Amino acid sequence: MLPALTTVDPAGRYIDWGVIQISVTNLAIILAMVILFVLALVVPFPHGSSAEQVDVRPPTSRDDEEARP
Amino acid sequence: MTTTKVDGPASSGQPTSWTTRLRDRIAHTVPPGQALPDRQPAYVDSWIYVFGVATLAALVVVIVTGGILTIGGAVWWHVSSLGHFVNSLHLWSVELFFAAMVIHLWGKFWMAAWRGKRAMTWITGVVSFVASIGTAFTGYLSQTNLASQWISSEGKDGINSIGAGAYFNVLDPAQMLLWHVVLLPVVVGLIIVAHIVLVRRHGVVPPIDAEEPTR
Repeated sequence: MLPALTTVDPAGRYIDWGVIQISVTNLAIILAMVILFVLALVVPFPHGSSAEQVDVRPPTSRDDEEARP
Repeated sequence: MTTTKVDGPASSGQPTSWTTRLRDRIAHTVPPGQALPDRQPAYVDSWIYVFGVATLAALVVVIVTGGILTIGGAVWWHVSSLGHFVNSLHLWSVELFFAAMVIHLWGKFWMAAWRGKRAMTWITGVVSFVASIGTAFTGYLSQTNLASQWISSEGKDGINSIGAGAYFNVLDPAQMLLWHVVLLPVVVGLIIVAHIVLVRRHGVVPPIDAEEPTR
């Protein structure tokens, strides 16, 4: 069943798909967030000086104990 | 004059005062230098790790603008252009807060950030998310306009249906406003503090295919 694009009232347009009803604006915001999420994974992160990034684990305060919850 | 011997540190095994035990506990909550670290693991250089701090930055704006709104009161934004502007800042910072928090949630879920004994970090994140939704709901109830009246008159049915209506009365604007500006911000704030302390304590989770870096 294809979603129906309807004009309900002057407050905005809504998309109806079965039990789901969502405004076009809300759907656009969600899609923008998904796009932002994907971009965050693929866009290269600018690298600063090598001295600022080291491959270290935060030092534990009690090496003879496991990490507490 | 007699003197009282001061108890030794907790690590020596001798009996200690509660202040000494509390001091040691606080000092060992986060590894030394990690409360405000100046170094980070190399795998953190990805944009996906920005959304946690983006959520915090938005929250700061939410709190500051919310504080300004409390000075003017719940009608201020209807009678003052400055009040209207601050109210708008408050709303849009909340929108950015939720957008950043949800993207942060997506990233943490897909990288299984609860690994390495970080379950409580994940749980405090989820709880703060739900509590934030409740805080936003009481905020929408406090707009003092026709929309907030609609939200309360419609929302009462759902909340009554779960039995909470006797204690959480959405038709009581005074209760809703106090929950929004006092009770829920305190609760959410404490959970967020716990969440950040846990992140500092256990460190940022490494990628799934990477081993925990060692010093």
